[in-house]
Amino acid sequence: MEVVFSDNELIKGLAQRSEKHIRSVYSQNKVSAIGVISKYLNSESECESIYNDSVLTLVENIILKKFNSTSSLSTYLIGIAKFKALNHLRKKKMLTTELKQEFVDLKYEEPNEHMELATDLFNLTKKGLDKLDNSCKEILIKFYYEEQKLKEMAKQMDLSYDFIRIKKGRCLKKLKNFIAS
Amino acid sequence: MDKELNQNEQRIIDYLDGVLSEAESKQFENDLDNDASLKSEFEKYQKLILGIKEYEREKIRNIISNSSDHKSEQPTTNKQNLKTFKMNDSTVQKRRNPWYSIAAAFFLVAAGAFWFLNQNTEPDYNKLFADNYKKEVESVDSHLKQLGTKLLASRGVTEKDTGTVLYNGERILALEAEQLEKQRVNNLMDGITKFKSADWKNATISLNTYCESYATAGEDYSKALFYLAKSKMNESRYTDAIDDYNKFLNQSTKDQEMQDIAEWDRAISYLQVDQNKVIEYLDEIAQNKRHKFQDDAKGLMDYLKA
Repeated sequence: MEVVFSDNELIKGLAQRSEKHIRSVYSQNKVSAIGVISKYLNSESECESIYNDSVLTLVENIILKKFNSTSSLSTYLIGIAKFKALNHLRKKKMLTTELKQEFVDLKYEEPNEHMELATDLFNLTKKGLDKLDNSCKEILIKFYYEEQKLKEMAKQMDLSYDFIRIKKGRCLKKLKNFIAS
Repeated sequence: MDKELNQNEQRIIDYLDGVLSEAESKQFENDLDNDASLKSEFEKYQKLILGIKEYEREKIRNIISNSSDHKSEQPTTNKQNLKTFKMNDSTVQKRRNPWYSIAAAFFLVAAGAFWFLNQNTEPDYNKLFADNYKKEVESVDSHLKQLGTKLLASRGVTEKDTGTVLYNGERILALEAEQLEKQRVNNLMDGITKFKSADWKNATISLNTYCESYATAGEDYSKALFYLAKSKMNESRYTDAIDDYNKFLNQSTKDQEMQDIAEWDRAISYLQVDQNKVIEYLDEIAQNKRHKFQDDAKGLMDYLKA
């Protein structure tokens, strides 16, 4: 039987990218969120893909501390899913006047569009990151992905601000050199 | 400025990190327009940062797409409901040949039985993992005690001693080496103590730092790797934990009990990461008569194969 977590437990778990929490939030909300998405989109695969993307955005918003705790996690996820479904239609220029209004009324902050990175370059970066020592990898991920402040990281890792600032620069250069080689 | 980075690299990183003043940023953007090599270097760093983000994002995407492959909770879209309704509607209007009706009834019973028998064929991997995984390490107290003893042991070096010893490849004063050694043991004890108090996150940070700093310290390094992997397991960072267990298992000096736990944890971590690999690792344990988890491995394999 699947464990049901409270919103607080889920938020803590998702912030850590815990697999069981991601799986739990995914399965607990799938039926209702796809029900909402399928009001706007016909294709089952499009619905599934929009839902998967919505869960990713939810997890990332929690990691980046953008989640507004006044609403429940489920409501928030469904809001994201609805936004993404309508945005998908907007990009395909398929929004009716009524849906356009619904889209405007959503008041959801559009997440940054993910820039495309060529697959071969991504694979190289991945290999490079795997070759980096754990502390370098941790610093780069915390700073560039989790958008943590260097000061905050220094405190967490019990290191000085200057040490971590210099180390971050060196780690980035090391990664660049791994890729170049 | 960091001596390992040239001026351009430092400026690029500072610009990307948003720490340049407005005037410096403008100057940098001007330079970018006029200096092709600076621009090319800048683009490399920009893509690197994008790659770091994508690296983490891909891990989350993989978990999501694995969850999406689970068949147990396939939702029905409105369109599917509509389609099913229409099909039923049209079929009631046809008069069927009785022979076909009997065959259809037989087929429905068989299909129903097949469906029923196959309902639980997909094991609940989360539950299996939770049932077989133990967060604590029984010997943690004795490990801390061993380290405590090391900490108290002194070679009787005094400030007057001018003899030197090799420490981490460097020749230093014996007294200094003793102090550094105490610091090292203290650092390891700190990580393991955090582990003992279930502070997995800080245990991971301390043990990571320890492994970075003392990668050659033999038995203690193995110990640190083991507890680092275990802390990551407890934080549900299974892929990272597997990496550290692999490093631990490759060490020549390691405690037998820790080795057994590491092999078992690695095998069951694959329940969360890649179920195809679970049997392979369980089989290795099941073949090993002296392994602490031999019976557990056999039992779990039987269950998964059933």
